[in-house]
Amino acid sequence: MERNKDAPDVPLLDVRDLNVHLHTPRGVLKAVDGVSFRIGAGRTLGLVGESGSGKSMLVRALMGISPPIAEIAGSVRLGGTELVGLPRGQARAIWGNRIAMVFQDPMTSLNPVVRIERQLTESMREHTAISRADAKIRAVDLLERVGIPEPRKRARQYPHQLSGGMRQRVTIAMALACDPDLLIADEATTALDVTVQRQILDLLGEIQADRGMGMILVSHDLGVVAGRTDEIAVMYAGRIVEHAPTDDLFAHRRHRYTEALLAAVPRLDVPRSHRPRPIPGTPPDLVTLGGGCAFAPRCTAADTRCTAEHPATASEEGHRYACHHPVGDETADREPDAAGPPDTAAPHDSAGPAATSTAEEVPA
Amino acid sequence: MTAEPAATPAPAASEAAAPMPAPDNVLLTVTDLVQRFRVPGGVLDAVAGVGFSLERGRTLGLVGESGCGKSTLARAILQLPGPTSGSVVFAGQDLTTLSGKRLRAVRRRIQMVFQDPVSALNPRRRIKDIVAEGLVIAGVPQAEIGPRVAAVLRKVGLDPESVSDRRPHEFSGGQCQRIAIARAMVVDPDLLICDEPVASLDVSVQAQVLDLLDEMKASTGVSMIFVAHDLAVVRNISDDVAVMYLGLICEIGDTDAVYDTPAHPYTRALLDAVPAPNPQAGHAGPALAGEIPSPVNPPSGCRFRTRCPLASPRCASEVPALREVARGHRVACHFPLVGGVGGAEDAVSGEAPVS
Repeated sequence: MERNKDAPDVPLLDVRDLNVHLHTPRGVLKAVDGVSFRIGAGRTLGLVGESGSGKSMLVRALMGISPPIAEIAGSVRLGGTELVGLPRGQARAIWGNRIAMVFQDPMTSLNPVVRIERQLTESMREHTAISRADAKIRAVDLLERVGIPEPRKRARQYPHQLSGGMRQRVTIAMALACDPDLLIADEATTALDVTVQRQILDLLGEIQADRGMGMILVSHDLGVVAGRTDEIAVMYAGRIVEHAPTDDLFAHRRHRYTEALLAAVPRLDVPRSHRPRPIPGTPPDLVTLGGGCAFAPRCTAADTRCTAEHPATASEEGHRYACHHPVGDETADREPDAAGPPDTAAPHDSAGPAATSTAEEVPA
Repeated sequence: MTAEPAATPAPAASEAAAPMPAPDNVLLTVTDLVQRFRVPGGVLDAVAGVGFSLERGRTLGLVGESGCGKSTLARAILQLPGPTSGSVVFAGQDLTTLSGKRLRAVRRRIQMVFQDPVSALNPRRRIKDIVAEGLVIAGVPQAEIGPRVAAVLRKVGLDPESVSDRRPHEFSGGQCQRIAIARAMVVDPDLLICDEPVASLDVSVQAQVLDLLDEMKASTGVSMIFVAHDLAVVRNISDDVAVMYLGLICEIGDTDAVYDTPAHPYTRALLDAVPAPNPQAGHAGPALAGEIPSPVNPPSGCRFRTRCPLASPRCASEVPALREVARGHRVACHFPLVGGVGGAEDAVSGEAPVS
């Protein structure tokens, strides 16, 4: 595909045809199935999907923390270094050092019986030749950088003495300890209150701009990724079904799943009469997944072709999607359902008429 | 409409404004409810004097950050545990004065749905037994139980034939929440208290459960108290909404009024913090600094003043009372933001509105 044609400079992260297959007692579960994407330095990718879509398995594979039953195939290159199949010793120099991760629940990354200071200095001492005394100074600097008041005092405390928001700031400081090239935030603000979520997202954005890191923002919440990313990849059943620059994705979404996901989000800015539209059914079982489009059983536009034939990935000026009946193509290749178009258009009123009209320009 | 002139208490004690004589359609009246816990550092008023009333067939949304007391309030209504002081009048009876058999009989008419549906269901029991339990306890004749369980399962969108003999682990989170709703609704309650019922569900499934709750309300006329931290979810389900901060209601009123013309700076900040699924939207106002203070030692005067962009010396010395800024829309703020559409002319505030 297009991946071979242009490579003027090496991207920060280049993922090609990545597979994470889990060997379960029921059979092989394709948690990640043929995923390719790139991230440039200083860019932010939003990775969106429901639970079980494979987004966490994908970033865990990048971070080298896949479960033992996972078989990883494909290629993950960080600044030209191939990570898949890298011997453990060499990989240790990258994971936690050049790639760092922040998790949803800060207590999973914090040791409850170790002072904050030592948790911060540990990875610095592991990865760099920094002295104990310098590492302590840097730990306090990092705490200050992530907006923790009284950093000197906090450094001497234990995780339980901090609030949830403060703990998440500490895990961000830990991730930054070795100046990573790539920061992965896996639902890092999901467990936080909305006011604190905003503080943490602002902080991540500032730090990224400061350091020119690449960032992957994993979230089930389209609101979180909308204002904070350069591009968005939507995952469903282990695959990226749509990938586009953020503005383009919201304005001209092409995949039916992206469309349905947006329509299901409860909105603050619309009156109560506009209810979110549920997506019927549940995500498929990834062990028994057949041919066809994985979203077909829940898709309002699906026909026999969708259940039989896996949709190829189409690419239009950096906007990739895999759908037989992309949004905006109704008039071009099929009769719209009687109930289809008005229904589909309704919940997006606030996204603006521009969105709908431009979407229709694409096939023309 | 729903909001009674509730007491806005001094942190110390109850300075109640008695609710109006309850009209017939009022199902629940909570007056000056305080829930105090002893903690190592002293005492903590998780709910520090809250009052409101709920009409039959209406849904009241309770929103606020973690630690604001919204769940404690919901549980205090159910007497789980009962409040330290204040009254909870449900269908004419003050639940705080009842105990034992009489309390259990009334409480049957109030049911609850919890956040984590998987842990709310006993993993070792079959679905039909889980759903039937309330009926069994209520002494419903055995012959009636089967049909009523099947009917309610059908109502929540599950096929009784195929689910009755299965156990909770065989179902997804969304399906478990349907089962939990069936268990609550099978006894035909008058009031359903939902504590973060969709917080642990995927967005596609959230909308399914919200739709289901709405259908339940339409078909049975059940009243609801809907506790959630997600403001968008609350907007979608509630007729009225109460915003809580550090144990107190700071704003209460018709949902669209509160969301479209928020009068309390805290409500404004909460709404501004919600990220819109629209890359062009951005955030409307500045981010709220800091975190919610400790309820063991709450700020004097207005509890929000330490984070409030409009705070003045008066806010530190005087507790703002809940007062009407528009019909049925009350706010506890010395400087309410009533400049929005349709709110200003009804302002009863003596201050110049600050915008």
